[in-house]
Amino acid sequence: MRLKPRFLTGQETARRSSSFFGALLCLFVLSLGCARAASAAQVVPMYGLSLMGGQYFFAGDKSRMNANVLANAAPAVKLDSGWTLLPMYTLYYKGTKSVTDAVGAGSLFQQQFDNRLAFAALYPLAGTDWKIKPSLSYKHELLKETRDEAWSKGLFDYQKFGLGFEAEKTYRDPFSVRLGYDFYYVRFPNFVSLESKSGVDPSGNPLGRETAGARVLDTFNHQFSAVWTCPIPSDSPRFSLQTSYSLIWQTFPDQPLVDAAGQYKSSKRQDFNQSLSAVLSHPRSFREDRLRMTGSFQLGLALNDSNQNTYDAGQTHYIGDAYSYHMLSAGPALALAWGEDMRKPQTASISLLWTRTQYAGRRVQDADGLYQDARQYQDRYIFSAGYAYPVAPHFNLTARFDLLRASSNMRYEKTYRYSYGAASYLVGFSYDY
Amino acid sequence: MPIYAEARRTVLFRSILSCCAFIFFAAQSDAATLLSSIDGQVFLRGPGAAAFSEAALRQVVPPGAEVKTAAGARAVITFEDGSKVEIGPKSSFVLEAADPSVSRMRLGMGWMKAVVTKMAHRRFSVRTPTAVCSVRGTEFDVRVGEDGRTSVDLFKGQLGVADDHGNEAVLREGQHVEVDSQGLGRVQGLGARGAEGGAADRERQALRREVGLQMTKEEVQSAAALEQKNAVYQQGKAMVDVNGNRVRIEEYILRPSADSYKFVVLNERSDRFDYFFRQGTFNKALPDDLSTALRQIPGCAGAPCDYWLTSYRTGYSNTQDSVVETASGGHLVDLNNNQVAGDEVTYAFDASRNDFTSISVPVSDTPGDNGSRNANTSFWRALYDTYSLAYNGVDHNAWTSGVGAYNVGLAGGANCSAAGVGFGCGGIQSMGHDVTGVGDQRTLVNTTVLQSLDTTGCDSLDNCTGYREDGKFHFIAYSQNAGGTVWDKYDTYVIDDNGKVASFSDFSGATGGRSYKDSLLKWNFQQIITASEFQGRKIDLVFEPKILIESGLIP
Repeated sequence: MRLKPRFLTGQETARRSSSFFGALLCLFVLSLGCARAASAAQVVPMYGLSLMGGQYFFAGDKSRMNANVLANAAPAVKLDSGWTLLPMYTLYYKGTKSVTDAVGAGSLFQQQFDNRLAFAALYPLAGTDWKIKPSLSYKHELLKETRDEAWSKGLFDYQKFGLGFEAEKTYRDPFSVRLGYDFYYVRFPNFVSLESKSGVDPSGNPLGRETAGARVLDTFNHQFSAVWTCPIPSDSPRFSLQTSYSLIWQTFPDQPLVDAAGQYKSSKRQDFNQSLSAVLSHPRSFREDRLRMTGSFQLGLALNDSNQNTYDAGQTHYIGDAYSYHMLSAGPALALAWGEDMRKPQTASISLLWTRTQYAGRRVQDADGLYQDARQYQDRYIFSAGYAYPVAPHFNLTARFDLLRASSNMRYEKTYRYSYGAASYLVGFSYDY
Repeated sequence: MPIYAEARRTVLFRSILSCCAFIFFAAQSDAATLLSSIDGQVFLRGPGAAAFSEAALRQVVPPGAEVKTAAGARAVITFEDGSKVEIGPKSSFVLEAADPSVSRMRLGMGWMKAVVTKMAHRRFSVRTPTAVCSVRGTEFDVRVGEDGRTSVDLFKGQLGVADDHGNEAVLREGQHVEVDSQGLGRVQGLGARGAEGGAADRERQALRREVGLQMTKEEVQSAAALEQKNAVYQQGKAMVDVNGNRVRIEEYILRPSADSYKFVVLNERSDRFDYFFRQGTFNKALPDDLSTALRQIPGCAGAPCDYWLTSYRTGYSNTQDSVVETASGGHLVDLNNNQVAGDEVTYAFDASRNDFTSISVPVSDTPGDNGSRNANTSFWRALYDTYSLAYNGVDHNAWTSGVGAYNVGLAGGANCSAAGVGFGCGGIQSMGHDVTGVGDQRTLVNTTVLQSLDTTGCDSLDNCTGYREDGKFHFIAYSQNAGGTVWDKYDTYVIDDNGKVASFSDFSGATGGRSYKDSLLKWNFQQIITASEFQGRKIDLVFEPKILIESGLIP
């Protein structure tokens, strides 16, 4: 058996990521030092903490009660020079799955632990309405999905290194136009294709294809985005419209394309994901501003164009254009805030979101796995409701409920569920300053 | 499900809600004192006019004019210097004076919020039934109840508030006071309410928005990462085994030469790597669509197969120990008409339909003359002359073929070609591994055969053959030689993708036959192999049963 350990080990990966993390931290500390040195530097601290507990229900089974914790700190530093530095640290532990999480393996068990450090800067360009915002970020997500996975050994742990630039023109406060470019690299340190390290069989013949990639999930991403918010009608606004467009060019440097015979080509996978969306909102106030209500409706269209195909070896079936799809979404939402003292309002929200994903090349399979002619689609309906009750300034008791119903024309569900129901609830408190 | 397109939808929606809170202050300023924004029913009565009329957008509000708003309505008045007054629902407002030196107004009922542009020589005042608020550049909120009680919040600057009894208080930024018919109340801090108005708080809000935008971006980018994970699940490349451990699975096909293929299943867990492969060489070059040839491996009903395996190798390994099965000398035989008793096929898997099909065999074969074929529906399958099943190189079961052409000197020879194709040909497997070789047309040399231990149940025994747990698909197949010194054991589970062992009830009680195999296609196999040569180690593999059925490993 020939094993080819030509990739970073988990420890090496951890070392390298902590180096990057350390560098980012140094940058942060350095900037704080500079800020302090500047005579009129002003620090605006912002903190948040949310502690909730709840359960996840999937296809008739339920998970154990577990906690979700979200903590963030963002001490903004305003400098004399006009720059505002905005370091942000976020810690997130998720013990209760979300209904939108992947349902592969049907597992009810999942623990997620994220650490994210980001560093943004804001600079208003003198004499204009423009503001520029360069940013740098690092995120490390740890994920335990099975009993034998230890922290930092999770198969789907990933690291994300990002840098971005955004320009925003506030043409009429609070309405603005934002244009941005982001580059980010996503790396799954523990996910190396098995084929790339499969070695040889007992007779010394290779078990893997010659050009098999190793880090098949890692991606380089270029994202271009534009967001425009505007009042409607312009001179006497009653509605607010936010439209946004995004293009993500995603390259997979180590994922070769699959040909019709199930063999690898020399060229690599790349995806172009475009999305266009609009949200129309209508805020209202009642009872002498003791009840505020915002109704909204959103529409979205997303298109993913991928050059990758797959080959189902079990069925000896080639699936061309396997990752291309278009997705439509639509849904209303209602947010309410009320109270005699609007300094501490009670808030509630409900929303319903429908999405349909239609794949370009994936064919449906019957219950036994046999491929049919029809192309695969999936409908998802997500209902969400939230409530917050203020108990002290900045301090709320909160509750949240999510319900998802998914249905698809795909009938083969041996390895993945396409039609199912899932729900989750969370109750706890939040503190925001 | 593409997650990141969906994430964008969600975060986009979230961010727009926060934006809407400011919408009423978004109206553009204009050169005159006018209604720059109207929402709902707003009425205006000009100075000297007897009645109110519905106000129009951009209508000039002259000194002496009175503005009333209906329930749920709002209006924004913009002054020449850019100062703004927002009038809330069910409010009564009078603009008493508006010139370069003074802006004076009266709030009889309801709520208003003023954002006053700082001017050196101008007074800006608001009178209510119980109070007078005077400022030079500030931002404040006044609320008047039905009993005349006035509530004032100051967000920015300084504000003088006087009652009707000659008392006055100066509010500083972030302070609040109430005035009623008894006079001024105690000045208090605004607390969280300051977050709605003051400059410092607006700045905080703006920074919070930046934090929110960063989080939104993060959510979209992270969703792209999750989508990679989803794709892995959808292709069945990650699941949970019977012990609750993560097992990664990769299945693919290699094409080592024009006439051969190699199917590979790789399993990885946190502490081990196991694999399965099956390499076959066909009678001729394979087509691009491999399924055409693979679906003929289990056999062909009616006409002879176009493709059949002349040899194959199947291996199981944990990278240290191995089980290797090899067969060669494959030749095509009509099992249902070769007049070899006991090898008839009446039921077979039809890969083109992904289903099982019955085959008509009214006449049983009998050993004897192969001069003429039976009237049975033909079933053609490749049989092999040599066979070996070895554990770490030690044969547990093997035959070695004799020498000579298939039909030389044997009955029915005229119906068996030199290549070993024809209904008259025999073969070792046609006798169901009968070590005596009766009916076989070639010389048979048996090397090793382990006898299977068959018991009525394995509930309390590990070294037996049978179901291990009542009502569950957990089957043990155990074989050993006479002395028990050479043995092998296959511990097989039928599991779902979460490692749950299937019950007989999941198969509607079927433990064999068509119904069983139909159901089996929807599950996975986990096979744990141990043997006397492995020194306590095991080979632990999870794979699809369809592979085994198509390969003929599950008859």
